[in-house]
Amino acid sequence: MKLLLLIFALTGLSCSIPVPPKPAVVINPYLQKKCFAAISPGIFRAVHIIDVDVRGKSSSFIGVTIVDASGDRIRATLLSVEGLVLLDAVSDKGSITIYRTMQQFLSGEFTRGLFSDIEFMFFPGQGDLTDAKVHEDGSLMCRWTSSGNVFEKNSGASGITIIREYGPDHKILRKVSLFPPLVEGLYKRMHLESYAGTGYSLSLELLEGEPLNRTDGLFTR
Amino acid sequence: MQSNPKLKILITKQYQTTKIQNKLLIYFGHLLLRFLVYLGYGCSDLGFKNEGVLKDHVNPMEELFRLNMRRSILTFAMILMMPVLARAGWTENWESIRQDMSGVHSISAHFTQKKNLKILARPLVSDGRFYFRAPGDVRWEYIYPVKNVLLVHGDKVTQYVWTKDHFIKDSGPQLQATRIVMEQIASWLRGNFHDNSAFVPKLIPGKPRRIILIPNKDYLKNFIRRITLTLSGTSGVISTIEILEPQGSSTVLEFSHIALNAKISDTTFEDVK
Repeated sequence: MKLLLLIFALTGLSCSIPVPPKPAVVINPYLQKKCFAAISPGIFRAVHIIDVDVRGKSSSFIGVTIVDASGDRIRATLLSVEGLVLLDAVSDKGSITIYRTMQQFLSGEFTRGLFSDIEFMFFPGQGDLTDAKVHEDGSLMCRWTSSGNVFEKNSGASGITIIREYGPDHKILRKVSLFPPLVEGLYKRMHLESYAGTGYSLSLELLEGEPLNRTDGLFTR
Repeated sequence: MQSNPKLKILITKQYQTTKIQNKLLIYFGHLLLRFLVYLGYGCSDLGFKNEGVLKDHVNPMEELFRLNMRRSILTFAMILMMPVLARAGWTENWESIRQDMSGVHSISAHFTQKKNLKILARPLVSDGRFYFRAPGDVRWEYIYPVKNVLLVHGDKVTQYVWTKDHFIKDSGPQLQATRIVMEQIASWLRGNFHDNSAFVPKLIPGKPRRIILIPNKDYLKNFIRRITLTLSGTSGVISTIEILEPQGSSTVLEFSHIALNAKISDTTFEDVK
C-alpha cells in the first residue's frame, strides 16, 4: 500500500513539474532569409495550362490565378479547354466565396483543395521555420512546421525546387517540383503530385504571368 | 489536395426536376432528358425526386473530369449547330432550311477562339480546326495552346488529350453521354429545330447580317446570355460566333479557310494524328 502511495505521489509530482520549454531553433539568419525569399511576386496574375491525371485518366484545363500575398487573397478561375468557366472562386484570408460554378461538387472539398494546392505551390513557407541547411552539393533545404504537418523545400543548384509535405505520421502527402526558368518571377513549369486518397497529379505550364500593381475589381464578382 | 477515398458527401442541392421532367417528356422527349441528367440537372439513380442525394465521392478531381466533359459537349453541340442556324438566316423559313441542309455534305474550317474574362488583361487565344461530314462525323481539334481532339465517327466517340509528347485516349464512361448529344446534333443537322427549342433565333438585318440566339431554358440561361452569329457573304458560311456569358465574360470564335462540301477522308475522323 505504501508502495502504491509512493508511486502515486511520484507520478503526481512528475506531473506538477513544469516541462522546460523546447529550446528555440536557432537558424542561421542568412539561411533564414534565403528560406523566406519570396518565390512569387507579391501580387500577380498567372495563366496556366493544367493537365490533370487521376489514376491514368487525363484531362486538360486552363487556370487563371490572381494572388495578393500581402492581402492573403487568391482568386482561382478554372476553364475548360473551350474557354467556358467551370469554377470561379475567391479565398480571402481563408474564407472561400464561390462566384460561379457549374456543379455543386466543386463547391466543397474540391474548392478547398484547389486553394490548398495553390498555396502549397506558390507559398510553401508557411508556419514555423524549424530547420535550414546547405547540403554538400550546394542545395538549400528549408523545413517548416504547421498544424503538425512538415513542409520541406529543397532548392537545387540546377534551379529545380522540390517541396514536400509530410503529415503528422511522417507520410508524404504532396510533392511539387518547380522548374525554371522564371518568367516574371513565376516558374515556367510546375508538377504537383498528391498521394493522399486515390491520388492525382497536376502539370502546370505557365502561359502568361505578370506582376500587378493594383487589384481593383480583381477579387470582386 | 487531400481526398478521403471513403468520404461521403451529402449533396444538398434540391433537384426540382419533376416539373422539368414533365415538360421535357412532353416537349423534348426522353433523349434530351437523359442529357439533362448528365449535365447534372437531375439524378438518374433516384429518378427525379426532390431530395438530397447521398453519393460516394471517390475523388473530387474525377468529378472535375465529368464536369469538364459536360461543358465540352455542350459547347461543342452549340458550335456544331451554328453553321446550320446560320443557313437559317439566309433562307428564313424552316422548311427551306431542311431542304437547304440536305445539300451540306461537309464543312471544314480553321478557328480562333478568344476568351474574355474580367480578370484577364487580354483575351485567352486558342487556335484549332473543325471538320464535319454528314451524317454525323466530326473532328473538333484544338492545336494551341492546348492540344485536344474530339473525334466522332459513326457510333464511335473518342477524345484525346495531349500529354508530354503524345496523345492519350480518354475512354471514360462519360463518352456515352457524348453519343446522346451526337444524336441531338444529327437531328439539328437534318433541320429538325422544332424538336429542340432551347434557343429562340432572331435575324438581324443589315450588313453584316447577324443571328441572335437567346436561350429560353433556365439551365442554359445560367451560363449563356446570348449567342450572336455574324454571317459572311457566302451562303452557309458564318464568320464569327460570340457567346456572351454571365458576369461580362464571353467567348468569340472566328472561322477562316471555310470549305463547304469538300472531300474529307475517313482518317480525319478515325485517327488523332
